[in-house]
Amino acid sequence: MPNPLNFSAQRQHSSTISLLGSHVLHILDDLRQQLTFSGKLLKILLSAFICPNSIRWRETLLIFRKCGSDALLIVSLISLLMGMILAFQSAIPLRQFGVDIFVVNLVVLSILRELGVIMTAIVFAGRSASAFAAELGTMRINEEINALITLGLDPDRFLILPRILAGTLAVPILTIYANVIGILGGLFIVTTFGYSWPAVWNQALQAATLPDLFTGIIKSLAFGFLVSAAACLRGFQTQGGAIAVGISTTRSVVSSILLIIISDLLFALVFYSLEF
Amino acid sequence: MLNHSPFAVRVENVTLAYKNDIILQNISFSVPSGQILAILGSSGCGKSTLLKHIVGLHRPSKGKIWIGETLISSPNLSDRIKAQRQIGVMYQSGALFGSLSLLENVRLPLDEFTSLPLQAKNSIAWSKLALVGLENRAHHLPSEISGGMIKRAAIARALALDPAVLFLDEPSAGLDPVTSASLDELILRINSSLGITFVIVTHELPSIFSIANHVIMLDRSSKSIIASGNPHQLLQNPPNEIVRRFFHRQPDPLA
Repeated sequence: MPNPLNFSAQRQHSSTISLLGSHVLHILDDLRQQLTFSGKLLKILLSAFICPNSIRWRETLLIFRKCGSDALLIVSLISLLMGMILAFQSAIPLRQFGVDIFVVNLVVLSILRELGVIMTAIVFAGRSASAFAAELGTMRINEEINALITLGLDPDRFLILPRILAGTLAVPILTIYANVIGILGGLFIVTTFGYSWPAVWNQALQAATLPDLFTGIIKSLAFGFLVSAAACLRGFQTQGGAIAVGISTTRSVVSSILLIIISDLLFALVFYSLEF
Repeated sequence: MLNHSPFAVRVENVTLAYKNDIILQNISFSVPSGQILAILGSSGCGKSTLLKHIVGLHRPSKGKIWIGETLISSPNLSDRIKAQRQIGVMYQSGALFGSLSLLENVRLPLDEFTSLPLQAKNSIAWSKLALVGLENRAHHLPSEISGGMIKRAAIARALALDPAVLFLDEPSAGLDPVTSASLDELILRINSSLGITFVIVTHELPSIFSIANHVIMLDRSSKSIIASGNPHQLLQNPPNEIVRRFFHRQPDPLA
């Protein structure tokens, strides 16, 4: 007589394998879609550079304003607090060695090379790129994208290109701004340790080098592009109703943060091997 | 935009499939220029999917679809775009762009495909809105008008480039009988005054009898056309039980 428990265990085992298989297939399909989308993006950007008149500049500027200047307040607050917290946290161990002026070096280097750009990119992913995914997802379920196609308009040029351009330009500008505010916040805290502003300022100028500044800017360009592209892809992938828009928005933020961290690691490897 | 084919739309032996699931098979019909054709069928029988294939959003697995003399189901993108320039589509939700006013929505195709001065484009867009009775709402956003108005504005946008064929997906869905009747009256007026061919996906019987010259009925189980003809004649002499039940609003005993 067959043991029903064994049969159940076998069925569970088979369903686990099929579940695993379907997850792998899903991941591979998603990867294929991302690669197809990357190729499409490359084509759109090339055609835009060849023919700049094809860019919808009014729409691009509008989106740039929404994800750039409208984000200044939140970027100011986060970078100011980040600079101040960093100064406070690093002051305690450095003071033990009597070198708390080097808090300036730590704040300047970490903000210019890492924290300024990472925080700005994450704020952009959560605040603006998620809005890209939600807008495009809503347009997808409302058939507005189908309407564009049947009107003979190219949704890539019409919807994706302005968002990619605006995002890729906004993140570096926000990063420079965040760097300035974050460093000023950190320096202000160092002045409360008894150092004068000129001394702190001179220390900051000695600590910062052009490569430090450029590594942040180069990374911010890449993060702006990657995050905008991930958000547009997730928005375009939306299928179903209102719940699907929520799912796309979440996937957009998760993908963006993953892309930021993974590409930051790659940048770190490249800069390390170039001694930049 | 006029075409020289006697048929505004031709669908030849079309099979639609999603992955391995066949939705409709061996669908063939043609729509003479100036006619109003209604595509009928129960929910889920593939009416809207067929419409999406006819307007070039998807390519059929088999068969060919022509708009006038242009093959819209062609793998060639330029053919598809050429065919799409001859049609206008009104989607079930209206699909107006939420960030643009009604005037800007209607002007959008003119902005993209004509080099007319802004004043001329505004004037054309205004005239299309006047045709559907929305000239006094030209500067409203879609969120500021009713469902019936959204559908009329979507028709105005679909008319912007003077198409030869207008496709409407469930125009009466979600509308009260009075608004629905006024939309039917608008369709008849545009058809008679501009000679535009209409292909309408619907299952609203009052609309079918008041506007359609010809209907084709799709069936979910056979995945094909089960009836074709004048709606009044089909009501009098239904060719099969499914058609009889549909026109007499009788429930399916097996459902």
